[in-house]
Amino acid sequence: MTIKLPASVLNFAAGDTVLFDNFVDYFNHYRSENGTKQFAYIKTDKEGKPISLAQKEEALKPMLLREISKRSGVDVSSMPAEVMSTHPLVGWSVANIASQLIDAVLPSTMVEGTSAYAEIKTIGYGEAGIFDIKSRDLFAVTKVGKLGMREAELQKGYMKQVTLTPEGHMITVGVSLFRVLSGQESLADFTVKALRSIETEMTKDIYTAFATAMAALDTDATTGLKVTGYTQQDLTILAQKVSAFSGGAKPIVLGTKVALANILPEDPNYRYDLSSPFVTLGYVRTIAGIDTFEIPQIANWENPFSTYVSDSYLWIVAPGTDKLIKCVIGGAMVSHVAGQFDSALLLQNASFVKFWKAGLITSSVAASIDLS
Amino acid sequence: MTNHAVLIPSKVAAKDIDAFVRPAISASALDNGNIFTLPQKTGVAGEGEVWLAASIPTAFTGATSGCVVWMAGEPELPFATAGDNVYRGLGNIQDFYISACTVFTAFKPMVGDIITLTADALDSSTTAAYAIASNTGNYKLLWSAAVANGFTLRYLKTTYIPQASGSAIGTGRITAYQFEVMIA
Repeated sequence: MTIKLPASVLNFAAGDTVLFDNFVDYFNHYRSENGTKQFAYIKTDKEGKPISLAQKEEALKPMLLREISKRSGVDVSSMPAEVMSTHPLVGWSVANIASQLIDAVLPSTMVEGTSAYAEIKTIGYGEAGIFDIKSRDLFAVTKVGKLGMREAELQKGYMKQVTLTPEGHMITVGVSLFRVLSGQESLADFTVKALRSIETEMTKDIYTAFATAMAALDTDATTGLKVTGYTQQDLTILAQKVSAFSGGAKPIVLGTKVALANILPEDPNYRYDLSSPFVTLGYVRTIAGIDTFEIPQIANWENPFSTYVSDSYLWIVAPGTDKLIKCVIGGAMVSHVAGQFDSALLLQNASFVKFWKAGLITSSVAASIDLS
Repeated sequence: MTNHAVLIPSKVAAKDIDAFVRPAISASALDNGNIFTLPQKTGVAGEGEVWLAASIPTAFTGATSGCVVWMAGEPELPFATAGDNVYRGLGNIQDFYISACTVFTAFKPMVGDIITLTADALDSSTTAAYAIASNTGNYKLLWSAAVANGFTLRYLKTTYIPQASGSAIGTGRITAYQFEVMIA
């Protein structure tokens, strides 16, 4: 997938996007090697030789130093690294270049994992997201006489305005500018780790808002949108409901790989061969004309090695309609690095602040199957 | 935040008859669907046609036969306030109310009118056969098992007014009650 640099990053880059383009490529390479999904990244150099992730990381170092010099207005190669590391503008540049690198890829990576049920919107720093949600109801129609009446009873429907105010989230890590400038620490690697931390936390927030909303669905046998126990018939009925109340939009089934593996045809007289999706992917791609979509699992870093996304639910949504969850990102990431001699202990901390908030804001319909 | 009443004038005589529509002003904040009398014009300079809204007099308990009842029916323009500032166009339909001392539109419910109201225009959400005028000064209608000797609405059905929920899947309707004006 091609990542389009956001406007704030393009403004920051002011036409010189070499570093940002290379970082995006590095990040795509990184997550292709460290994940199950493959992303588009450059695999060979100009001479056609294979290029590794480590080589890209090395190649990024001079680019980062060049960018630091450009931003700080200080030629960081003009003095020894230990001297340059005490320069306040150099510290500022390092932190904020890292922030801009994170902002270059963050919205896009969020969209990939949550696109079926969430909409990510970037708003200005200090602003609140305002969503105008339209009613999905239609108007009631009545029989009348033969043009003997001018008007039927007046009906009105109203939209709902919902606000979502981003909350601040912060990371503080120990960093040594001396080690960064002397090439002993990789700023690219450090940035990717900060990026993945924020991405994981944001994805958790979006998923939590989604799972909470789905858990609250009505379980009424006739009018409800939630059932316990998988059957193909229940899945089809719920998919029909979601589609019918979404103006005929195509429903899909969401779930983790483990959850999706529960989807099997009602008739037990089925066979599958080794090349079938059920073997190669672990689940069927389509059941009763309804496509399945795997939600990436999220590591629960607070409790290794548990995972965050429930394997006990199948969710039916119509992704073509208004997304269930809205997530607003408030402005660019703000960061700062303490000066080398600010701390009595000579500790040098880098802090990153990012504002976001996720919540259920929708008029769409969705359904859930509890597998437990 | 407190919800305010929503009124749908489903079929009212005032729609086509100017005499049943008046500008009014009230010392209390009102919701659409609130009822009151218009005993006199304000007499304030520049308010030549503006009537002063007053709550149903205590003397008219269940017997408003000598009391002409009007209803608030101002076009809804939700607003939000912060300190002394008013920001129009923000908020939802149930946030809307008529601020005190603001000129608004009142109409005269007439026999045969069909009016749809949400529970906030009534004393509770427990339905009864009729709704009559409250004389407790709160401008609301009271559910009643019996017809009053005066302004009475006959309960027709429980219905809904569509409004996107925004905060839960599968909802998006405000419960409402449809009435026919039986005694105006």
